[in-house]
Order: sequence, then C-alpha cells, then structure tokens
Amino acid sequence: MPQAMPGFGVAVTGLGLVTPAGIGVDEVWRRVLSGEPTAAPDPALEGMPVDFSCRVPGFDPDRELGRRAAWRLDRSSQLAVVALREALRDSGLDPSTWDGARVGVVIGTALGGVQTYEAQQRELDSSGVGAVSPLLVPMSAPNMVAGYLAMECGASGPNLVTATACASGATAIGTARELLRGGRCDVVITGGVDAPITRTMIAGFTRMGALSRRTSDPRAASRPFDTARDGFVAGEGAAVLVLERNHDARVRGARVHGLISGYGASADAHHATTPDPSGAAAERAVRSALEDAGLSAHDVDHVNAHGTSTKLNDVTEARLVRGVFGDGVAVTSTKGVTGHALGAAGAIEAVCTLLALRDDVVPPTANLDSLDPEVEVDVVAKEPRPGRLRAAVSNSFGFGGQNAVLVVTRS
Amino acid sequence: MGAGVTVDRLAELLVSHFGAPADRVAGGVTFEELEFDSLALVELAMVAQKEFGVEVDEQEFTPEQSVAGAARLIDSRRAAS
Repeated sequence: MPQAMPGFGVAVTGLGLVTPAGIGVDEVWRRVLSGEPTAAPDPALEGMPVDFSCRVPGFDPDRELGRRAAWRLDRSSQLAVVALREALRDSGLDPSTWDGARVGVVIGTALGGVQTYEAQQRELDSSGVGAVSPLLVPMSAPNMVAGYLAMECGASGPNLVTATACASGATAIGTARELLRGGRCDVVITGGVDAPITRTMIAGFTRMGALSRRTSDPRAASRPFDTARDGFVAGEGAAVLVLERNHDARVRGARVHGLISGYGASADAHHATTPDPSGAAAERAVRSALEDAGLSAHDVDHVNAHGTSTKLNDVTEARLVRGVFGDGVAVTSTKGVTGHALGAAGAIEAVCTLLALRDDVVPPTANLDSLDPEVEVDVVAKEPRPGRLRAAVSNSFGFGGQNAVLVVTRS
Repeated sequence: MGAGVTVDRLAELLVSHFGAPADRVAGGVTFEELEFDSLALVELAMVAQKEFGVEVDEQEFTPEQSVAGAARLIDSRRAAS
C-alpha cells in the first residue's frame, strides 16, 4: 500500500450535487458556467434586515425521498441523501454487493441540523417538553448526516463528520483521501452539506457583519472580488463524491472524473472570524497541498477561490494567490452563482473544479463588473473561459481560522 | 365522534405525517407491521395529542397495538375528558 508518498491521487468515480444552482451535477454545472446568480428574496426571512438567500430550487423532500424517510431527517440530511444517491448511481458501484466494512463516510458540515433545532426550540418555548419531537437529537446532532448516509448504502467502515466551518467540505475530502492512502478503506463516500438558512442563524451572521445587505437587488449581492461587494449570501446544499484508489478504479473499469491529488490544512491561530491579514497560514495550506501533490505552483492553471464576496476574505485571498501563483492562474469564485453553503461549499467547489478540468473551462465569477484594484490576480468574469487546464487548486477558509486546500488533477 | 371516524383520521395521519404506505394502513394492522420504531411511536403520541386534543402518554402506543386499538384509546380519553 502506498504510504504518504507525494502525488498519491485518489480517483473521483461518483459525483452528486444538490445546490441552489440546481439538483443534479449536469444542471448545476450548466448554471455555474452561465454565471447566472441564484440569490433571491426568501419568504422565510421576511422582515429581517437580510431577507434573501440562495435556496435549492424546487427541493421537495417528500418527493425526492418519500415521506417515510423524509419526516425523520433534518433538511441538511435530506439534501445529503439525495446527493449520495446521484453519486452512487454515477459511480457504478453496487452497495448490495460491496464489502461495507471497507467503505467509509466522511462528510463536512458547519452547523448540522440547525433547522430542526430551531423549530424544536420554538415548540419547547411555546408548548413545553411534551411538544418536543423524540427525533430532535438524531435530527440535529452534526454527526448524524454521516450515520444516515452509511445506513442508506450499508457503508460500515470508518464514519465521521468534519467541522471546520466554511472549510468543512474540503477537510472531509482531504480526510477521505487519507483513509484511502492509508489502506483503511477501499471506497470513501465524502463531501459536505449544510442547510443553515434559519432566522436565528441569519440574524447571527447579520450581526457579525458577514452578510451582504443588498436587499434592493439580491441577484447582484454575491459578487466576489468586485469593488462593490459587501458580504456573502447564505446558501444551502450538498455535494457527495465517491473516492477510490486510482488503481482500483482502473481495474474495475470505472469512469474517473479526475483525481484528488493533494491536500493541505492549517490554522490561522489569529481571530474568531477575521482572517489573518498576512495570510501566512492559508498560504502554508496551499503550499503543503502542492507539495502533497508533488506539483509546483507553475503546474497549476486554475484556482477555484474561497471567494466569499466579503471585503476581507477576497483581498486577503487574492494576495495569497498572487504570492504563490503569480498572475499565471485563472481564478474564479463559483459563490457568485451559488452563494455560500458553508460546510457544503468546499465540496461543491471541489466538484466544480473537477468539472472545470474535465471540460477544460473556467466558469465566470458572477456579478464581477469592476475588479477590486487590490485584487491583483486574473479573475474570470462574464463568460466561461476555455483553455487547457493541467491542474487546479480549490481553496476553503473557515471562520475559526481553519484552512483546507485541495489539489485536483486530470484523470 | 364514532370510533370509525377516529380510525380514519388516525390512518390518514399515519400516511400524511409518517409516510406509512396507504395501501397497508388498516384498522387491524399493528404498528410493528407498519415498521414504527420506538421514536416514531413517541412522535405519534405527540402528533395525536395535537390532532385529537387528548393526553396520550408516550408509552401508551406500543408496537403490538393495532391502528384500531390506538383509535379506541384516543376515543376513551376523549370520553373521559
């Protein structure tokens, strides 16, 4: 078994997406390439200072999962199960015949089942203990999504949730790769999920000053790297990837979408919500991901940025990207289209990065009309940019100073 | 309200809230046969309380109980109140 050797690429053999840009990988990718934003007024946020969000359009859990399964799951787990089903179909693996003990699950989430928690808190306050659902704990605990995915497909190997805020999905994928590299699993189901759009959470993010206040024009609110950006737009979604060792995938004749070839992680150790302005730790995560992949900065043609559309993130990140890659990489932030789905974001963006390499095209950053002069990198705007892509990097930086970076290469 | 009406309303609730298969829900079917676990039975006590306006203790619905038996319990509580 290969141990910690650089350039150990794991094959991505299955993909599933449920995002504000649509349900299903093809629909999402078309929307991301179109650069059409998804942010819209949100009836659930009526009367709030921020009353818009990025929701998965037309997601009906009873239709997708059946009422029997749906009523027992928080929305976050519902999104994840639907993404899992797509990813498994796509992988060609048959859970009825695999050795489940060799199949792991590693899913990232920032907040877990907060919609359930919030609804049940209201029941307790208004009607007492007898009105609280016995499903409150299993629906809201953050570990449960990984448990439910295991039950869905009989994956009885290592099973865990990673929580590194907005980097959770990328941390999960990096951790999943380690389980394959170390020989602990033959297949790992990984990705990220969050369904954080509740009045309480939006109030909290609003009070932090993290959200865009562009209530008069929500479509234009998520505008990474643009001079007029004023915060992120809360989103929801799930991305699931099926990972296998490249050799195993080849032997079984699987279609390989691309490789996760490197992973780097670090902590700012600086402040709860403000990124370290020096970007030193985030840069170390990028450089260690490259080293892990056995690549130099010159081998990389594309960066899918964390690019939240906040004042601080985008400038700090642009400086870091320029410092590592110069101006030789095509940078994009797909959050302009999808909004920021917190713990799902890193996984959604890893999938977008794989698809960019597969199709040799960099999607545009939505709403980028006037590049912030402090952003001295080549950000793709308006139209998708075709061109040969050899390798790409996907950045994810979480509140708490947690940084996770993935290197993606071609199959 | 007659027992038949309660059974029908309860059956409807088992389908609409819990997703029990409509073609299998009938008075003589037990909760075990409908694959209700302990958490679902506690949830049922809670939902029934709201729907029928009666107090049902969370241990009173059991796996061996039939839908008709649960309806009788609800009706007896209603008569007592």
